[in-house]
Amino acid sequence: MDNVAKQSPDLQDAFDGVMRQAYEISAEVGAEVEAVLEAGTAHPLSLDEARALIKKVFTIIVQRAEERGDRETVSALAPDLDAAVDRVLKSRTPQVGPRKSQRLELKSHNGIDPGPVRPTPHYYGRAVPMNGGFVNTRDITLWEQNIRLDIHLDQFRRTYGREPDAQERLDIMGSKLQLPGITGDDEFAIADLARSIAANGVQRPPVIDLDGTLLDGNRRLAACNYILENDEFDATQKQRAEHVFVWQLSEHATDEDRHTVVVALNFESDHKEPWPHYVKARKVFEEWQALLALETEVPNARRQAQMKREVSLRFALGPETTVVNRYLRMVEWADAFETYHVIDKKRDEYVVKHNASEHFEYFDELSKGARPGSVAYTLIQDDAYKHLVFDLLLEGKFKRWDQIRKLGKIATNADARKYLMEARAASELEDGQDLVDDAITVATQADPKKREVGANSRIESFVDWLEQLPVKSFRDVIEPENLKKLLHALALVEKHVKSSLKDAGAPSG
Amino acid sequence: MPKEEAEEPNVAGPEITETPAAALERAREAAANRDPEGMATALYASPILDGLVRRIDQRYHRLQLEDAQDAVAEAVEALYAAVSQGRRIFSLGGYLWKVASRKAFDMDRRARGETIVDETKLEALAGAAAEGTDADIAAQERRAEQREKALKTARALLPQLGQKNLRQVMGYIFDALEAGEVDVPGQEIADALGLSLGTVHTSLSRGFRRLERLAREKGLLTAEFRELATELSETEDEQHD
Repeated sequence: MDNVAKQSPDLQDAFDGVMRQAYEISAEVGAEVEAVLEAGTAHPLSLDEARALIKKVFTIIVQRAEERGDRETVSALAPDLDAAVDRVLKSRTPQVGPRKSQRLELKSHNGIDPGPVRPTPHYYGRAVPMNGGFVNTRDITLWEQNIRLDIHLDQFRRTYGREPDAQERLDIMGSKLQLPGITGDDEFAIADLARSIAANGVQRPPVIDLDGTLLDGNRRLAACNYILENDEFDATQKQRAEHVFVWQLSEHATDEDRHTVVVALNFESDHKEPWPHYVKARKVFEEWQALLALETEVPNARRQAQMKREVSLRFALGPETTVVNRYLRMVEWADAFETYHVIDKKRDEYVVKHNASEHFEYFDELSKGARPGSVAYTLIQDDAYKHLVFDLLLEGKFKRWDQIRKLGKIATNADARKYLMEARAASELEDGQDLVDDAITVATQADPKKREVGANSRIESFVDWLEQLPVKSFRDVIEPENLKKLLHALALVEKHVKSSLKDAGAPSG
Repeated sequence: MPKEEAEEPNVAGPEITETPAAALERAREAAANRDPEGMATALYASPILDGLVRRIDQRYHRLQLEDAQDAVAEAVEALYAAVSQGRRIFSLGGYLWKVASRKAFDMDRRARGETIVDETKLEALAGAAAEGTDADIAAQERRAEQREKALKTARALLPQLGQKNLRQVMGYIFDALEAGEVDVPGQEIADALGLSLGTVHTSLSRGFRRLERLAREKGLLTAEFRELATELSETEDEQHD
């Protein structure tokens, strides 16, 4: 295609419009639609408001139907618009009379009566009035949208074809209900928390909504239930766990209040088990996608930066966008990892998701570098290498996240790359990890910048030292593990040494 | 322990007798049968209309509640017109939200004294015919012609996107654009092309990036788009180093 378009600003404008429309129509708005439904349920229109709206709807429908000659639609409504509006309004049942709501009432216990929490709790400068009082532990329900349990709940739905009930959610938190991919015995550290609560009581009041749904304190609730159900705890401890002092939102609480409370108490560290980075990053990513969907044109860099600052502030990540950008990149790489393993390799979706969560910090390292030689650049250019890395990651053959930084160098070194492939094929985990170490060693050795400095003097010193080391040291002083490492290193470099000596025309001993 | 019951003032709150998804499907069926009252009844049975008005009202502070109602009413009409004329809408909720929020956005811009630049977008979104002088009509025809040319140009770039998934997904988007679709959720693309949702999202993200790069190389981007593409590229470089 030639550059005719450069001379045609009209075509450029039109192309611009097409691209922006393409973005707009493909933007995912699922989360926003959920928010719309929640808002509609929480704050329905009054009868007058609904009447005005339905009347407008019918008026416009008739008008536009007339314009396009749709007689059927016009005759369906036109004779008596007001009567049609009335019929629609009456269709919503029940309407007359008071609406009954499920409200969990606070009660007195141990001489403490319910009452307003003073001073009024503030979260990010926002006053959120609450009432404090006791409730029966078993009347509180785990928060269904607890992001901490997102993967587990989804996995349960997929496995059993239904929503978990309240007890099953507690069982998931208490690691009683095993799901594939979960490796820890007590993933949410409930047992330890239960022992602490049994000894000291619940130190910080959980926060609940009007209907008893927990907004903060899912682990504390799970721990209280753990106490009630385990013989490890005596009658006194169980009695203490039966009632819990909570803070409850008032009837004037808004959705924004709920969000502020959830973020303030779950995104900031307060010496409690925080949401894992995987969960936080997903939440930030979803919020970012939702904001993008609301933009009616492609936001420029300045607008994007502003939006990211809004996201950052919303999640208490500070005024800069560093963390938001990092989270967005990490989620993109995690998605690529999951897509490869689930789609291409046909692995279990939830095993992969748990793995991605476990290794989420690695995706930070994987996402770095836009220049040739850097990790991200290298992986993007080479699908086969990227898939090799993804396989090794899933199999746990990287011992530490900082090993990921060497992947750029390994990619350009055939020997090192070969070691990585052998690592993937290794059936024993330790063998695979060792081979990854070898790959890094070889690649690093080949790095002229890193290794050349002081190479001669280092070798001279080491050889001098080694030759003067008493033989019995090998048996009595040096630990077997270090002997193995020495032998391994010598075997690794022997080939290169002999080759170099041959090239230099020197005898190889 | 039974939960206490509280008395509340009379509001038109919906008693949940069916899920919102079921109510929306009922609305779709009614619209397809040219039954506007049936469609409105089904929509009203769910919290969607209430929620749309509340969210629009909350988001656009300059607008009155009436304006939010107007935006939602326009969106419902657009939905009715589309479905009754046989257009395929994958997600009614997504469609309603996009059209209503777009309408509200335009009202907000007018309220701020800004002009709406691209009327072809409004036409595509709402199916409303624009009226005006002969000069206006000629200008609209010219814009429509350029848009068709731009779409053709964009399609011609698709083979250069590389991976098959990218070509297919971006091709689907352009097909939808040409058909005047307002909302194309990832799941719709995934179902149509037999891909996973994750693959669709990845393909969209990469597809747009590569398309922009190709368009930049061919001088197709406006100055604003070039600036955006350059700034994004520089920002990404800084962050990754």
